[in-house]
Amino acid sequence: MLSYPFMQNAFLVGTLIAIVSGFIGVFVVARHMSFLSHTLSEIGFAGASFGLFMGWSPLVGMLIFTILSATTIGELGMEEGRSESLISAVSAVAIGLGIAFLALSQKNASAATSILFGSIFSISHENIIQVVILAVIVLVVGLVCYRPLRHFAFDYNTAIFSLKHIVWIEVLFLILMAMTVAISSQIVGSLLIFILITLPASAAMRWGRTVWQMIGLAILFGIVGVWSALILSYWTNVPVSFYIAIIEAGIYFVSLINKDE
Amino acid sequence: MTVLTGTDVGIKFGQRWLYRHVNFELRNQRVLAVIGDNGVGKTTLIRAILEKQKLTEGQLNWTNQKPVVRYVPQERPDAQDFPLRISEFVSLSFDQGWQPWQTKAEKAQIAHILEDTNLVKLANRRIDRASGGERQRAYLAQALLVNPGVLILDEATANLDNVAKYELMDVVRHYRDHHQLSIIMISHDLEIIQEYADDYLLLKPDGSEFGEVKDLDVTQLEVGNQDHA
Repeated sequence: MLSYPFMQNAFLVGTLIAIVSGFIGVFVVARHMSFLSHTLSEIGFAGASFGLFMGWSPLVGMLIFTILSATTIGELGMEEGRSESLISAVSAVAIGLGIAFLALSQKNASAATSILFGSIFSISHENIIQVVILAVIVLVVGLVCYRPLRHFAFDYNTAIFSLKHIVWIEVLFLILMAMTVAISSQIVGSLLIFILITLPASAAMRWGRTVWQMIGLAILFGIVGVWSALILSYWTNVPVSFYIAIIEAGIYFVSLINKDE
Repeated sequence: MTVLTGTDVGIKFGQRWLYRHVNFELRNQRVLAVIGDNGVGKTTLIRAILEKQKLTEGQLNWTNQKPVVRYVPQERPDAQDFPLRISEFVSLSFDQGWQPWQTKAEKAQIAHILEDTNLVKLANRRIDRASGGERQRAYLAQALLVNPGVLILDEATANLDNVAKYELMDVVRHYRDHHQLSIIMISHDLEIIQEYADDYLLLKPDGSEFGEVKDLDVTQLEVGNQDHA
């Protein structure tokens, strides 16, 4: 199985994405932004189809769209009260745009499916290099800014008084999140972004007692899910996204049962 | 020695003045209680001290260089959402620098502050399962971890029972006595104010008062403040 180059690529990219999503996911869930991350992935869908329409790689279009909208959100400031309806409106527009660009680009249905549900087995060499570079950037920046990000995500009420450049931290965080969304959707697709960013982190945050424990568990859950899904998908020919979804949701449901001290 | 002086402070929201001509001093190693009816703008004044709110008129002056100011807000929804250990929650204050790990000195500092706030035995307890008093002490420890010159407590004792609130304030007082720390506390609790505060600032829309707590005319307050005492 591992002698096929497409399987080696899938394992390499999948593992890297599981690490990045687990790391950023913990902060996303702690800061109560999982809904926003989902919206970003819908914006990413619009970006990816725009990329196809322009003849670029979908990942490039996705990055441009998600980063632009993440920084706009940062500029607007996340006002809690109205953000939910705002986010719904934005995601409606994004999906509409995505469908429009897809139709205009005159690609076949498989292009749409791979954006929406992921296509890790057919990932191109160029794409792999892009994903690796982006993942390394996110991880390095995330590690260097670990301390402010941790306070920002886990105790926002004091972080706004304690961190001098809170707006910059917020924008930086949204950009990291946008990049994570863009690379994660290479595996699970933009529709299923919850699977790798939100679910492993949410489960990890019911067991972890320190932020590092939570990050470690989230990465572990992510990797377990991705690896088993790749193997199962190889044997059964059912899409990887399906297995990852089932495994990550399963881990999360088990974590709900856990009520120990 | 005076740490912070408020001169002729006035804050206006839209067309309405919250208050004008407020004068007060925060003195070194003393506790200043900010009191007044609900909605008079106590937290707004605190936000001004924290530079999150502009004064419409008047000035706030730090006598020397501005010290490290730490604020313990009343609302802390995040602390009830995640099962972080109390020691980890306290350490969130270490938010400067690039190292993703804690240094030896920082670990020692955490151990020290847990001891000062009677949290040593609870260090591994989950913050979301801690009692109200334990949680307030954890908030306090988190604020004190970076060795601030000024600590601002916003209704810290409001939801605590009689034992827990004295326990908390004893910790605050003991820490203040051993460090260069001045404290501003917003409170509605007259017993606590009379026991622990040195000075008071009574905010009113017309004519605020500043003075020593021993000169505070309690009778005028008790009538107005019965509901939230």
